[in-house]
Amino acid sequence: MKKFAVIFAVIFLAFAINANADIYEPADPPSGTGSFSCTVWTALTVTPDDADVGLGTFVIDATPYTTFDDDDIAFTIAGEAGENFYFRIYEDEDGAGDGTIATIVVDWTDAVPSALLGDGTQEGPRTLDSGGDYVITATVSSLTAIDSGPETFDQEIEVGYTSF
Amino acid sequence: MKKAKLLITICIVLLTFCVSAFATGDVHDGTTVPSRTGNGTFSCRTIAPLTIEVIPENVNSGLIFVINASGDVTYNLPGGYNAPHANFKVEGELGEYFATSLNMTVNGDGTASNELDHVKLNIHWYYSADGMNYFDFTATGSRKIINEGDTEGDNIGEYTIRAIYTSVTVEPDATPGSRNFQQTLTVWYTDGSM
Repeated sequence: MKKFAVIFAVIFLAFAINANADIYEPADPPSGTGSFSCTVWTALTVTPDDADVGLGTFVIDATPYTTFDDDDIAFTIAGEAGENFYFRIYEDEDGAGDGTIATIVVDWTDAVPSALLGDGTQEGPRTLDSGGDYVITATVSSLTAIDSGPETFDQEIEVGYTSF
Repeated sequence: MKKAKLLITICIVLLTFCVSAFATGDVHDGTTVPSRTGNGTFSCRTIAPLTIEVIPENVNSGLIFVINASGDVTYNLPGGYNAPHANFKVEGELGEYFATSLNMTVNGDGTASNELDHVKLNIHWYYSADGMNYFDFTATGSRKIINEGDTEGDNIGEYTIRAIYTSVTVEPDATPGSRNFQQTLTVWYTDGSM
């Protein structure tokens, strides 16, 4: 009787082991993969082709001058090719002397066949070309010499990939 | 157990989609201000216009010359830069260069000549850069304004060009009457490279 009991116990144990064996994890446990992704763009830069354009020397006169030694600054905006960007132009037509020495008229142009608005108005989007460039040009069309002295007129372009 | 793992896996996948969607929905450029600037400057210089003050306007207009019926007669006048003269005081931006031209006209109609109705006038020109010393002047090359003149500190200088007539020749056919010989000095700025 005891032998039967031992045999049954062994059989049950075997079943139990087999049963446990059924729910054993596989050798490679299941796994799930998550990932973070991002896109990296070239930073926008704005580079003038000439940081200081000398317009020339002008004799004081009420009649505006329209001829200059040099008259334009080409701002090259560089960034991620094919992407859009926005920009603002900050123009200064009165100079450091606030219009007491000389005043100028600056015309802004780009690839779009219309004059840019200039002076603090956000414009865009524009699209960087296949080389990642876009050119905006400031051109002086006239100058009125009011009083003697040197004068400077700072022009600035602010750009961003997003509206700002 | 399996369900729990499946839920965790699904959550991770959804989170990944969510993070990915956020990453491509905005542009970060590593600054607090999402923009970049570039600056360029136009510069110029303005200078005072050139002016000419003629002192006096008429020189020795009261001089009288007599016709000699037998032939030309030349009246030699006192020479030297201190003889009766007309000063052409040129004023302009200190340190700048200017060029000149001289022209004598008669008849009042701009005819370029130094002879009018059988009377010939000869002029000698002097210049003074410092307002004190005078030298022979010819209307070639550039002149530099270095004399501050009477009004120092305003960046306006002066340059004196002086006309002195040295002789008058009267021909026998001359008719009595006054003559007017107009001297015109023209000046303009140059870069000094003439």
